[in-house]
Order: sequence, then structure tokens, then C-alpha cells
Amino acid sequence: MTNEKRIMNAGYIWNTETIKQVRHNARTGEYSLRGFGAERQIKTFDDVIILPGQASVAPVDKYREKCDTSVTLGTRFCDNPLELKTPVLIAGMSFGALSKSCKLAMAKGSAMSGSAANTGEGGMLPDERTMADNLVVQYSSGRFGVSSKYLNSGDAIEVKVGQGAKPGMGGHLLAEKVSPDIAEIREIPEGTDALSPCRFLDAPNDGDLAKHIELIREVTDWKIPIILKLGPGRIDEDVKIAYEAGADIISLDGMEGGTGAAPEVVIEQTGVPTLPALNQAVSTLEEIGAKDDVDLIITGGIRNGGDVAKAMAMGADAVYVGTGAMIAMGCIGCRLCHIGKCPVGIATQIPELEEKCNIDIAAKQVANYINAMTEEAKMLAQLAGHSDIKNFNRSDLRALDTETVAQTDLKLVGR
Amino acid sequence: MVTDVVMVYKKDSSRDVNSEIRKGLENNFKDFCVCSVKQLDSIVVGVQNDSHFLLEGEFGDFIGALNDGAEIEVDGFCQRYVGNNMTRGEIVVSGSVGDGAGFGLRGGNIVIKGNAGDAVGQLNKGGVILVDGDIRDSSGLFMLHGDIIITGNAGSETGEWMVGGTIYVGGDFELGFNAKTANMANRDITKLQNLFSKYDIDADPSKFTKIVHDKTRPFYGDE
Ligand SMILES: Cc1cc2nc3c(=O)[nH]c(=O)nc-3n(C[C@H](O)[C@H](O)[C@H](O)COP(=O)(O)O)c2cc1C
Repeated sequence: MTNEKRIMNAGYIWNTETIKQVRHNARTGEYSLRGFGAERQIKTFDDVIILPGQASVAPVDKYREKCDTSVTLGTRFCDNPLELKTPVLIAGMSFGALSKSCKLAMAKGSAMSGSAANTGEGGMLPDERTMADNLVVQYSSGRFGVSSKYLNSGDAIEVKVGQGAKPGMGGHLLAEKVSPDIAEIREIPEGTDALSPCRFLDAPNDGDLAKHIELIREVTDWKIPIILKLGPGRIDEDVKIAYEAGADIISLDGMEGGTGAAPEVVIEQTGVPTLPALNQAVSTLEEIGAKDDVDLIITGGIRNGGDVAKAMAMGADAVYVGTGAMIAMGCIGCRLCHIGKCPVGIATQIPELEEKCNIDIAAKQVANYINAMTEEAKMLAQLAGHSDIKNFNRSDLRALDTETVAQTDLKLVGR
Repeated sequence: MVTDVVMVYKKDSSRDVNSEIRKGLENNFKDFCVCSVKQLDSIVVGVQNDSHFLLEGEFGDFIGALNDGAEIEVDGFCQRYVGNNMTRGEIVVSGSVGDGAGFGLRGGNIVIKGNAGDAVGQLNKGGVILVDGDIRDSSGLFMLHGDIIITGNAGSETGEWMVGGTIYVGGDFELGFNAKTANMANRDITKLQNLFSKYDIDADPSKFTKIVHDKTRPFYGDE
């Protein structure tokens, strides 16, 4: 920063960010990496409002009347669907990208709020399993830590095809970061580059995803739900394939979806924003008559109870929060997760830094955050006249401008 | 001590086969025989103890996948991804198998007495795959650890983008990117000799070529 040359006259095309990017590329010869999701101007849930009940629809009283916030996810094929007190789940974030203390705080906080935690693709910490009441375990292209025991210790299994921050890309934890702890949990030799290929190399043909799902079902005796996680690509086709492959739940991550590290150009230039992605997924499921059959978890840029309420009104059955949960724990938003020197002990493996993340305090903050979000969404449901958050529907929403109408098929305000 | 063999036969679905097996395992049976089940996929998967399975006939994909301790003997043929993501145990197939044998293997041994297709041992994380025959292309892609041993010929892209582990080939092969040949050390020869005698394979370890990863480190965005 100290040697940073000053920028005269930043404009619209050659703005400060663009100039800094060019300088980075010129200095290093490499593309730049960062944490967090897309931050460009796109339509978000802020461009949608909720219609309150007035004379035509009677609101529900916040103090005296009940409003159910519980959700049951994954009833399609399995025996034991996820039963949660809130539609807000913690997204899959790997041990490796995050510190052990942070992972355990996520697990503990999820239990304190009746939510679910998610291992991410870096294997499962034994204490993570004990601390979480509901734990989703991931099955990704790299299969880190995946074994029969691992799959059978989950309350749900998430088959990760892609994520919003870097759809179509794999992941790679540098060998230098594969510490003895991480090596043990990922079940790979210490100091080996941990590669997650960009696609399932063992699913080259049409119908192979279904075979993986069948395999997981057979290993877990059809007991627990299988989630299929998609990044936002050709959503129409992809959602159909996920449904045909036999998923109980589809989770779809929009382009705002966070990451521990991805190339800047990939974060900002690929994928579909969460709002239109959700709209497209819902209309596809409706078109094929699968909306009631399969559950949909939307993720990517979900920040508060307003986002939760609007997502559910548009047809989501639940949401995942990643970045929000990190911020609740004390993330300061430096976006340098990939460097591994997180000043607040969240995205680091350095013991002295990790100490700054106190498991009990962080867990409490995550639980508070989820509880408050749930309460916000519930309040919005009640004022819109619902005594169950699941009764939210599209008629409760209006789009603030025509562009949002075009992306969501919602009605425009004032009409 | 239970010594009876559980017979599982003439089933129409993988679920039926596996639930018979599960019942047997719950009742502490240790020996199973599975036959006449058409070419079903995902049979005998994720077994978490050292019981013994004899499979007779032709089988589909993912046979013995996620195996965690069982000894699985296939008298016949398997299609793709035999022993996928196995962590412990042993699978021996008397005939040939399709693509992707031992994909994502973490531990244990997979032995194929016939030929195998493409993608043998891709993403191997620490197990042993031994093919007493020929294989096709792209074996050992993205392999992190463990051994792949081919007594016959291998195809193109052998060891492509290896990061760790070792491939031994008795016949011809074409090297993939980031793989190189190395000298067979005494350790390698002893290792192969032991395996060959254990599995009754007639081959001379000193004639094998050893393949290891070259210098290039992968980099396409830290996780
Ligand atoms: C630090 C970090 C690590 C992540 N690791 C994984 C992972 O291992 N597997 C995965 O599917 N998604 C991973 N993600 C993506 C999240 O699961 C989720 O899709 C995303 O964070 C949701 O967007 P949000 O952060 O805006 O809530 C990660 C995200 C973050 C922030």
C-alpha cells in the first residue's frame, strides 16, 4: 500500500478498482484472488418489498398470536428429513478455509438456534459432529474425508456440484496449508496439495449423478436427506437434472455467494445473481410439477430476516448463510481470507490468530444472529397476515422497478 | 460363532440386495454370497467391518464403493468405479472391469485379474490398485498418494497431473503431463514382490517402470 502510486482522474471505465487490478496484474503476472462473493451492482432482495396486511388481509399479532418458523426439509425419499426450528441454515464452509475454533463455533451456534451446520468439503471435525444437533456433511469432487462412517454420521448429505462464487471451478488448498490437523480430517497425506477437481471426474455421463445419489442412499440406508448443491449456471436444465437424479433437496447458490478464496474475475464475471436464480429455479420446479416434492434452499448474499422472508415468499423452503455467519462472529470484511492470516481468527490456521476466535462467544453471536434473523422474518410474515412463515407467497411481494420485474416475474409496485 | 453363509440371490434392485446384507450384518453373519442379481449398481457398499463377500456373475457400477473393511471377492465382471472411495478392506475381481477402478481410493487393496478401462486410480489418496492385465488412458489423474500397479500395458496420459503417489507399469505406456519415470529402488521391488505373491500374480518386478510426479505444482485458485 505504501508504494501505491496515486490515481489521477478515476473515471467510469477506468475507475479506481480497475486501475488497481491492472497494477496488480502488471506487478505479479497473476490474477488476483480474494474472499467474499460478487459485489457488483445487481438486483437483490432490496429491490423487492413485502406488502403488509391492512384492511383486505388482517395482520397477525406479534405479541399474542403464534407464527410457526419451523421447517422440515427433505421429505421426498428419505426416512428422516431435517427438522429445524428456523429456515436459516449455516452454509458449508470447509475446515481449512476456516479455523477449527470457527468451525466449532458454527456447529455450536447452529445447535443453540435450532438450525443446522454444514461441514463444507474439507471433512468433518469430531467435535463438530458432537456440538451440532443437525449436521450436513458434504460430498464433493475431491471427496475429502468421505467414508462410509462420515456419510453415516451426517443428518443430511450435500452433494456439491458447484458454488456461486466460483461455479465451474474446483478448489485447491495449497500443500503449505495442509497441516497435520487438516491432513487428518481430510484424510490425505500432510503437506500434499488438496485438489478438488472442477467436476465429478467419476460422473462423466448423463445419469451418473443419479448413480452417485443411489450409492449414497445405499450406504446410508435411505435414512437421511440428500441435498444437491448447484452453482448458478443453466439453472433450468441443471435443476431438472438435480430433480431427476433423485435429490430430496436442491440447494442453489447465487453469484453473490461467498468464498474463502476465488479469482476476482470469476467471482464478478460468472454466474447468475441470487434473486433471478431463485426465480428461475422455482419456475422450473413448478413447470415440471416438482415444487412440492423437492425442497429448495437458496443461498448467496442472504443477510437478514428481510432477505429470508422474501426468499421464502418467492418459493425457497430455506436459506443458507455463509458470509453473514462469519460477520456475526467478528469478521471485519478485509476479504483477505485466502491469505490465511485472518486478524480475527476465522479464516486462518495460525494458532496465535485462531485464539482470537473464542468458541463460546462466537457460537453465541452466530446463534443470536440466526435467532434475530428468524424473528425478523417471523415479524414480516405476521404483518403480512401469516401464522406460518411457510405461507409466504409471491402475492406478498412487489418489485421496486421494471428491471426487477423482468428478473423475478413479480408485480411492480403501484400496480 | 456363526459360520453360515448368507445367500443373497435373484433380487431386482440394489436396495433389496443391500437390505438383505444389512440384515445379515446386524445378525453378526460374516460370510455372504451374492449371485444372480443382474447387473445392479452399488452392491455391497460402505460395509464397516471385516466380513467376507463372494459375488458371482456380472455386476454394474460402484461395486464395493466406500468399502470400509470388508473382503469382497468378485468371481466375474464389474462395470465402472469398482471400489470407488474405499477406505479399508480388499476387493479382488477375477475378470475385467470398466472405467474408473479405484477412483478416489483412500486405503485398502483393489486387485483386478483381468483388464481395466480408463481412469484407473484417479484421485487415489492412499490405497493400492493392482491390475494384472492392460488398462486404458488417464490412469492416476490427480492422484495424491498410494500405488497403482499395472502388469500389462497402460494407455495415454498415464500419471497426468499427479501430485503424489507412485504408478508401476510392466508394459508400455505414454506419460501424462507432470509425470516422469524414476528408477526402481529395492523398496519398490520388494513391495511389488510381496503383492504379487500375496495375490498369486506371475510377473517380474524388476521389469517394471516406476512413474512419479514431476515438478509442476497445481494452482488454480486457493480454496
Ligand atoms: C470461507 C468460506 C468457505 C466455503 N467453503 C465451501 C465449501 O467447502 N463447500 C461449498 O460448497 N461451499 C463453500 N463455501 C460457499 C458457501 O457454502 C455458500 O455457498 C456461500 O457462502 C453462501 O453465500 P453467502 O456467503 O453470501 O451467504 C464457502 C464460503 C466461505 C465464505
